[in-house]
Amino acid sequence: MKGILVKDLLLAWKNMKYLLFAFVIFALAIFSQSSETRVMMLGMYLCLIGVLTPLYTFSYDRTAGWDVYARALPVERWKLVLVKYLLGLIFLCAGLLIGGVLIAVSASMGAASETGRMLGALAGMMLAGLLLLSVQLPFFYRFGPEKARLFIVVTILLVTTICGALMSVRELESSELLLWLLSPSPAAIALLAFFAAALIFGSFFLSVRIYGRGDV
Amino acid sequence: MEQILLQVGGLTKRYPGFALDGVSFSVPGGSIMGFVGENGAGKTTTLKLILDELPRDGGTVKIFGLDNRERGSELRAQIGVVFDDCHFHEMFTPAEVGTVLRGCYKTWDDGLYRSLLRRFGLPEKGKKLKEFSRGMTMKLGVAAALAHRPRLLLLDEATSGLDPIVRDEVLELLQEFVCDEEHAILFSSHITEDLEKIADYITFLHKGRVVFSEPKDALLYDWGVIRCGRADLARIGREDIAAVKSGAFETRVLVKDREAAARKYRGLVVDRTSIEEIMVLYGRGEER
Repeated sequence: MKGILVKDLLLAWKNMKYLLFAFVIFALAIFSQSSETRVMMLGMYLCLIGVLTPLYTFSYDRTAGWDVYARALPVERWKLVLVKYLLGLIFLCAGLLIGGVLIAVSASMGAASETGRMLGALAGMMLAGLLLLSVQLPFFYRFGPEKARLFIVVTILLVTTICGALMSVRELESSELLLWLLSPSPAAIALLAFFAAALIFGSFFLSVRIYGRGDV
Repeated sequence: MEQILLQVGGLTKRYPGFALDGVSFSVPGGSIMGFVGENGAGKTTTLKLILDELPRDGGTVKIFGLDNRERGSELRAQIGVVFDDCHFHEMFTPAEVGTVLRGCYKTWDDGLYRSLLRRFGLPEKGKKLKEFSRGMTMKLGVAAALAHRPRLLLLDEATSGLDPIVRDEVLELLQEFVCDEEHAILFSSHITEDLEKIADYITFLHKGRVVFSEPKDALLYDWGVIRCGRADLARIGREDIAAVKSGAFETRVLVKDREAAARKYRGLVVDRTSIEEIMVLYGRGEER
């Protein structure tokens, strides 16, 4: 299994230079924003990288026909599936770590009062990323990256539309729901973590089941 | 006693419109089994079933005497596979392919991998697979399949599309691989010329069924083809005809005992045959 994870990390690494370049451009673009907004937007960017990395390794695998070869390796099917989940977890954890460092730097520059709230929001974002990954991966196994990519677009459009609709309701600006969403309490994060863990286990077993019966 | 490294018995897999129907053959240690058949005959499906990449509908596959489903991962660790296409990511270098496979095989031998790359004239670093020619990627596939010191090698059209020089290099290496009884190769190929050079046995698959699984020398030296006119066909006993194909200028009759046919049908020309001709006569011959 180590070799399969190394393969995915190598693929991610080769793509990383573009992501880092985009990260720098993005960081410069939001430089004029408040430190809190900067950290939150970069956190969202890191969360997206965590979600998208395992998904684009799927596309590379498909292009290379890697799956045919991978099944001939002495690696059990469930481990081949597990690697994609591990890759997502690794990148989301790395996002959490980088985001944490950015928050610490921001706190040292005078935004210490917001540290707890920002950390909470960052953790919430990464958990949301985990939820998104759990939903997406079985689709990738079932339909392949080409068709499943459409599902990502639909999901992002749906979430954006809902958020946009909520934002447009002026009454919500000061509502408790929005405040709760922007600064989740430890209890809310714990609940989200539990939900994400349950979903990721369910998603993993579903992916193993789909992958196990699939032809290559 | 001859050790059977791969034994396939009654292997069955059904698809809509196609079925692999009771495929049986065995590959002894120290030998190369040529696995031939027309496109869509079921060769790749058979290889995938041997590797347990697909669920099967019936039959058994024993590798080194062990069931391939019960000990799949353990057995795959001792099998090297070369497919008809390069399945490594094109942005990788051969060194990176080695890094990945080192993590997959406990018996991976970096020194052997490097020496195989050198032998094939492949760069280890500095060149990505997308810059490789087909010959180079196929040689890389062979090097990668051998570097964990497998006992059984499965080749799926591994020499197709290669020029004669590269093919010769690969064939030479394959012959070295089976120089002892501990190793064997199942070599699926359309290039019957390659199989005539190196195979010890030939299994011919036609429309999902094994037509024959015989020692190569028996096919080349014992079997024969009677080349005659359509009128002469009536002289030949049905029991002697393995396959027959009539063309505009001649009728070719495949017989399994060339010398006996020559004695029995005096006046008719009984030539030696080739694997390709046997395939054509069975594959495109008249239904009997």
